[in-house]
Amino acid sequence: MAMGLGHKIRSGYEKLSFLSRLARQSHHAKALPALSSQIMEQDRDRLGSAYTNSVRCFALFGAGVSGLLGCATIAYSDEAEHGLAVPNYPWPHEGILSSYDHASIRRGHQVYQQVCASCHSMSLISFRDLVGVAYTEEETKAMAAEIEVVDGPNDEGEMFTRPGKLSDRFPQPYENEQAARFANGGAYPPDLSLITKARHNGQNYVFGLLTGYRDPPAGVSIREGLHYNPYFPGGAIAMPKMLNDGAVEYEDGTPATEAQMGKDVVTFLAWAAEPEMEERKLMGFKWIFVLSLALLQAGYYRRLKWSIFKSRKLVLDVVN
Amino acid sequence: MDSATRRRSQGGLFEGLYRVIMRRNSVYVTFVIAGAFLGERAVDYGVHRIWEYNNVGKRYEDIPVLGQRQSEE
Repeated sequence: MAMGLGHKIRSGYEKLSFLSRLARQSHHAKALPALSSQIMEQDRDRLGSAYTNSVRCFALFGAGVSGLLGCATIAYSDEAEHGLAVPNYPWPHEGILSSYDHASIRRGHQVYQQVCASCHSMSLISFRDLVGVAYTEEETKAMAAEIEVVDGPNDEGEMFTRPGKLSDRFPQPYENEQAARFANGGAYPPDLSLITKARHNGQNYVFGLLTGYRDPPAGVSIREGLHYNPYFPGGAIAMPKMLNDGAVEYEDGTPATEAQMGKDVVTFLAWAAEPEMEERKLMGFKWIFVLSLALLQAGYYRRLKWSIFKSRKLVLDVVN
Repeated sequence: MDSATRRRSQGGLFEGLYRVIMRRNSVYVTFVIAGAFLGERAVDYGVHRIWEYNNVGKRYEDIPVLGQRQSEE
């Protein structure tokens, strides 16, 4: 009665191999004798086992193909609706134990500040978030002090402006959404604090979008004020191409090509959306490792306690 | 289960471990708590070493121009 784990694995494997051999030969059945005897009778009725085997093969193959096609049609997405599919780039911070490239975050912030911040806000990021990630505290304080911030009523009840502090959020280019739309032909430049999480396949999408500007194909015309970008759903985006070679002069001397700036700014945006990533990966690796060991211990302990029941024998004493 | 029936008064590793740790419950509990504390320290150390090995040059401390912003402006 008591089946050891080894017996269970063996019988399960036998059943699986039976199903796989069903298409080829029908005389190896151990687990399902009733079904196999039926099939053997059918064999004798037909021309021979080779014929039925090939028919069976065809049937299984056809079932598999139609199943696969069924799944494929569900997963199929329209390019006009979702934009051109973006390739997956090998980000340095991709992988279960990969950290951000912090030098890239610093360069990316520089690109954001000089190229993007004129239209895009990042109102969820504060200057203090940069300390220990891309800049030292002194550098960040100096950067914050360059902006003017409107502060609460003073003792006289008046609002006043003061130089920025570490605790201040990144400055916003426009007062409100209406002002942003008015200045950009009706289009609102979205806030970039969470953009890589707010778009499907965000990091690859943003990089593809920024570097993907090209001339529209023949027959496609884009109205005045919009620009063609195949990665943008619909193909017509209000933002012009912003990343051009040499647009920014990097502090560390890295050549500022379009692809380099795209990579750096997307790394910065990825950090802005997920600053906790490094801690999360460390924690995840550590606890998955520890809990796997605990699982082994728990499995052993369970089988130890259950062994008395798994190995007992029951005797039925029938009284007539 | 077959291996346990082999007669061995001076048992192997598990027997030795049982004799040292699991004879008295107080010793067992102490072992578990101290083991958890020290084990966590060891796992943290190991994971951090692997992390640093895997991420050479990408740390905040590795930024080449750290501290230079101030001097320009």
